[in-house]
Amino acid sequence: MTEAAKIEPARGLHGTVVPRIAIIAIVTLLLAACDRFPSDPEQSLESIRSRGTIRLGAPENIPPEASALLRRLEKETGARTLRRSGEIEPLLQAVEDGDIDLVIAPFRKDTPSATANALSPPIRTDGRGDKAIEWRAAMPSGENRWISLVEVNARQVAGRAK
Amino acid sequence: MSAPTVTTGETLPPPLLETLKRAERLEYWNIFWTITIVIVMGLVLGQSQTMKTAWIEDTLGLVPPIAFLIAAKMERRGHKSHKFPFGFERVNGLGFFLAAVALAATGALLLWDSAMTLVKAEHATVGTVRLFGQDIWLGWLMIGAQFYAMIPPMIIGRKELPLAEELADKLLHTDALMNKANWMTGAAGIAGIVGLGLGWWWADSVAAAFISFDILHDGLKAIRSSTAELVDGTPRGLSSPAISEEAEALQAMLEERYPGASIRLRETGRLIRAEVHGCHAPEPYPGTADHWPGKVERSWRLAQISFVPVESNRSEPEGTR
Repeated sequence: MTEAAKIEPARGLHGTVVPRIAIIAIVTLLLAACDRFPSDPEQSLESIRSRGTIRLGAPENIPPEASALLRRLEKETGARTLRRSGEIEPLLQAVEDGDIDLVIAPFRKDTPSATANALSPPIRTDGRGDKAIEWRAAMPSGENRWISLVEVNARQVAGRAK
Repeated sequence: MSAPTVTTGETLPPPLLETLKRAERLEYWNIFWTITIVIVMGLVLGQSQTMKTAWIEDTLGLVPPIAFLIAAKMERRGHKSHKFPFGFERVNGLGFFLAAVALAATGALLLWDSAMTLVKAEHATVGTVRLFGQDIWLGWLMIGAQFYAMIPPMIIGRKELPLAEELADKLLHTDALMNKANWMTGAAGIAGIVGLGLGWWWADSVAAAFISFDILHDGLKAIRSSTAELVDGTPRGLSSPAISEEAEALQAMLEERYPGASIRLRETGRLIRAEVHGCHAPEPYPGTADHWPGKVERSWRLAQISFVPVESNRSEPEGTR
């Protein structure tokens, strides 16, 4: 076998057949799945709709922007909010464990990644600089359809508040 | 005793120098497109682990072309000196080793990352971004970036292979493999993001793990070949750590012409050097190229044949200790 023949397998991988098949397969899959994008691995949004409740964790006092966000989410999902109050840390753990769907809480601007949950954009900011306090929604990590819905509405609430 | 040298890094045949310059131009384009890919991918990284790994891989993809350009420049322009009496032909071999390590590291990194994501059952968050007044799922942008990241390496990798073959350049060949790794990772990344979009949190890690095996395999093969060159092993094939066809044929030719002699071949960059132990050079000397068993246009690869006769007062041929 010659050197040229030896490298033929590598050349085959650079050839047009494999990429073409891959591209056709990917495009077909994308078109077929377009309206399902993104889906929740644990069906968070579907569960909220079928259950008819959004399980919320929040401190006793929440700002008006948080109430506005909840009203929007209730309208979008057709579910009503079932609120649990308490300390923020256990509530965030409850989101991580899948026991509640959402926490709305104040986070310090310089430590937003203190939770393993997904965080929405801030709906309200108190103070300035790195020490500013931002009110955000925390959702279970990876539940991308539910996260996207909360994020879009959080942006709109924040936009109206400005 | 040493026969006249026919090829050195500074005196490659003109057609080969032209090919080397073409390869250099291609590598400049490679670096340009890779930088654009690194920027585009960096803008849409998000929290996806696969995207981050693909971005690191794309960045590591700069190592082989940069190593090639440095090696080619030194090979063409670096002159022999008191400090470097043999010139800089072996810079290519050093670059090949660096590129091989980069390729293997990429595969290992990707494999580790995928395995950890699977073991920890991490669910990657891919949310939305606001772009031109519209809320867009970041996954669409990631898919677009991955598509873009696939195109240049696919084209450049294909163009590099024939040049690497003509130049007998393992560094360039490894860069072609790196480009293959890059576009395959792009395909795996797209499959992964599509999987995430469908709610299959494990999809990107599984796809990436499959691809990373292939990349790691290529990298380890290249490390074996490059270390063989650095420790004066018999010349290896372009795409395999097995002894090259040309070296096998040369060995057979020299054994036939100089029966009873011990033949040793080694590689300095793209050139092959032979030592014939236990006999004197024939008189008149027919020329180094005359010993090349393959096509005449490839005879430049045989840079030198050294004859090491047995010294009468020593039991071993000179230079074997």
